[in-house]
Amino acid sequence: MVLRDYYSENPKISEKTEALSAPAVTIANPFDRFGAQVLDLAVVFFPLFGLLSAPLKKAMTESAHYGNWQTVGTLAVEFLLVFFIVYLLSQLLSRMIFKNSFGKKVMGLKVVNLWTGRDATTWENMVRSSYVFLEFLFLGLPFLLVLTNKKYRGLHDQLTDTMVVNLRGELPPALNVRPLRWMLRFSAFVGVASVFAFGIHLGGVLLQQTDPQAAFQMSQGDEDEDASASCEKTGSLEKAMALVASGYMDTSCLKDEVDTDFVAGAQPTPLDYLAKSFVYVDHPDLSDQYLKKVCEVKADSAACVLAEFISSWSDGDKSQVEEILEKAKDYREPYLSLWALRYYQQMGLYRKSLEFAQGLTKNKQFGIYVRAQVLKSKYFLNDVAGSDRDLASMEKDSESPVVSDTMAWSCLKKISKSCENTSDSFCRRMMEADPSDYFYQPRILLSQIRMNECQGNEVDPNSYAKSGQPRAWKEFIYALDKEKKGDMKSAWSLYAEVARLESTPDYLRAEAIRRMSLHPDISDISALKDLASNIETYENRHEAAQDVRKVYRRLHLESIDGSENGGGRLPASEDGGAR
Amino acid sequence: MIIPLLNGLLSFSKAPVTWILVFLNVFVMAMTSFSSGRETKILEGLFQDKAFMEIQALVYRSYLEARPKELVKRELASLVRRETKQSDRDLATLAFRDQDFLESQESDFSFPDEVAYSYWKSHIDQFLTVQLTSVNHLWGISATNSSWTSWLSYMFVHAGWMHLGVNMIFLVLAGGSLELSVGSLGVLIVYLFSGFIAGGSYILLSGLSASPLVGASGAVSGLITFFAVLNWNRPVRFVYWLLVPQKNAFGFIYLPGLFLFYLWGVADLTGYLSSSEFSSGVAYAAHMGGHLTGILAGVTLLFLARWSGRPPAGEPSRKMYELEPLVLVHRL
Repeated sequence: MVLRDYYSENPKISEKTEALSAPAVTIANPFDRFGAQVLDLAVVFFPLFGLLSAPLKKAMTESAHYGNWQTVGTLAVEFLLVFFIVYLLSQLLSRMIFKNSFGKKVMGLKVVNLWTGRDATTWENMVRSSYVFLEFLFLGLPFLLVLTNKKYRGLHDQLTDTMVVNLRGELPPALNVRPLRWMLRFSAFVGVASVFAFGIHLGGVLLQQTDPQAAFQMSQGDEDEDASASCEKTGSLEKAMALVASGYMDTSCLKDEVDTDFVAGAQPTPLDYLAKSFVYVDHPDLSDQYLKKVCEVKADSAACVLAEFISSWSDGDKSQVEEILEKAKDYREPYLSLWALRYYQQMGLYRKSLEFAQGLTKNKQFGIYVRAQVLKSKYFLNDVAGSDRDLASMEKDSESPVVSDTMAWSCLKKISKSCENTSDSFCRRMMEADPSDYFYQPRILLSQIRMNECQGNEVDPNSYAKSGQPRAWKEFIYALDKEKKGDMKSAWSLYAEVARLESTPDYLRAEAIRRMSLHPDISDISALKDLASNIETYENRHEAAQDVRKVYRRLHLESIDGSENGGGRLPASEDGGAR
Repeated sequence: MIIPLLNGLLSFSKAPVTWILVFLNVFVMAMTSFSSGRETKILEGLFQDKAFMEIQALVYRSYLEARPKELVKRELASLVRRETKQSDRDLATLAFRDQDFLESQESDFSFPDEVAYSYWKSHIDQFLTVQLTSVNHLWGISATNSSWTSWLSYMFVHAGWMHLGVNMIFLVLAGGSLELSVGSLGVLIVYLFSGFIAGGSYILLSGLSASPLVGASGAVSGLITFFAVLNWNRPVRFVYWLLVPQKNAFGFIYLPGLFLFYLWGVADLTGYLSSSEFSSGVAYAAHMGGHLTGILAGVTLLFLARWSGRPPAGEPSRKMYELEPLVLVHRL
């Protein structure tokens, strides 16, 4: 019997293939061959490979678990070597047991020598399998060459002078529809396989969700390492606490600083417990327990005063806070003074904040922060010139985000009073700044937007947006965009959302309320009042209250013909009417 | 995709014990899903509490450091030495499996941070209270419950519906097919005995842990291997689908029964050899015990059959047998 080769136009090849002795054999369908390969891998190869590579897999998993990528790389090479050996071994075993590869036996195929027509020898099969392995290394892409050959001989067939035949005499697909049919079949395979893969993935995700341990290990990636890598190591807990107080350091960075103090045999200090309460600020129960412990360890300490201060502040007990801060004057620890400064600044008690700023400005690390607070206090205490002088003296440190932020703050204050102030030197500096350099400093971007509006320039809000910016700012830009497009209703709701968000800084909250208050059709100010009450910082609360009062006045004048009675109550300045 | 069909789904009258076992497992799961759900919820809460897990790692580290070195597992000792964030996470996770640690007292070791310790202790006490009433702990094999009754009861409790579903599919296939050849009592004995030995091998190879061993997979592994050994040279029906909508891509293949063991037993052995301390879930050690029981039971029965001159199961179709001794293919 001859090999029925329907496509060969070369008589020489036909002559040579006449030597084939198999009965009614035909050229094998490439898809049957693909199926045979899948069966070979799934049924024979993978169980054997899994077993023989188990120790390697374990070592690789553990190395990857601890991020030893160099070891993983070395093991991966060994893994490939084992893959190669086991692949050959599985083919050899398969031939010993089934006299053919398992998959080919199932699909009714056989590898024959192209010239003799006889079954390929074991050696030929092994060499052929080695080429197949090499093709696997190239992601199996060389297998596609099978489709370019009239006898469907792939690279591995051509290099070993073999071809695969169908023992059942089934005809291969006709030449003229070949590409389309294969494309359809291949797409179908990819589709079904994708659905399976998705199903398996979904199952895995569901299993992980129901398995708390797996969920824990999945959720805790490299985030912790990244976060702690960005922490500055101060080597002194007092210094670290001062940096936290001045906003230069995140509370999570205290963990590494303080953990070293909690060692067996050593007695933790009150400051250690205080730092721990900061570390676990997101766990109020635990944080409170640490705070209580601070004064139990030593009542007469700066840490205890700060612990009492924080407890009272979070309870909203202002008179108690005042009392505690009186005690705080007896201590010189910078972290305590910085918290007092921060408190008075937020409460609008600027004279008192200046008392605590004394002596802190010289420090390299938090000095700039303190100087910025001092000049803000001076501004509110009607010493605008002094404030400007202080800010000008800080210009040499303009690289510092605190300095540029303070300039933006100063500019915003001035143009809030009058648009004529856009010629102010700090405002000009802000105007000249390239927004792309300050995408993550929203106050600078806001000052630019406000100045452009003052000067009547067209503003494209989207030019101030970039991925990764805080959510509040993104929402604000979105609202601004709606406002520019005249969709005031959407803009109002979006501004309200900005003012409501917990993460919104107070100055942006106040700005959102200001813009809401400019809405011409506003009829109810209770929503504005509620939003304004969320603002904690005195200066911003004051601005927002003024805006609410303007609306009230506007509405009242419209309804009672000009009478002005009991408008939005301005919060009383807590600094004895300093401004 | 290749799945053993064996004799397929059999009716209750043909495989009564198999179906009773399935109903029993489903019934227990339905009755206990609430209790195990409560435990999972608490455990989930603890795993999500970042502060708790951080503290647990520190407390466990101190506990292990205070223990005599010979009592600390090698893997745990290496984690204690590492002192990385990852090793802390591993320690925090593995701590849940150490019953002695969970029940330890402050006096057993020194932990300098009293606040953290009391926070950890209050949460763990809450967990231990739930553990006392949890079905998984009452019926499963764990450090708190390793009595001989638990060696039998654990195989009727499952950790979830998916766990139960997978086990029951293979119980129906293997148990049903075996009931035709070795009878209902034979299946029941092998099932229970495999589960019993699986429990023992889990304790022997993995050691008792605070996480309970539950599930019928050890017993089912025993049944599969028992079937594979009994039919080691007979054609067993598998169905394959190569995910391609093509004529040759679907079909039945008849492979020697021992092939079942190659697919299942080898996979479990691979899992056992390649799984590390940190991987959760499958108790491969228990599966190994089940497979071993299946082999012993199968080989014993084959010898008994040879000695008595009676084959243990009906002869397969001669026609199929003669066609191809090792691989028979029947296209759908």
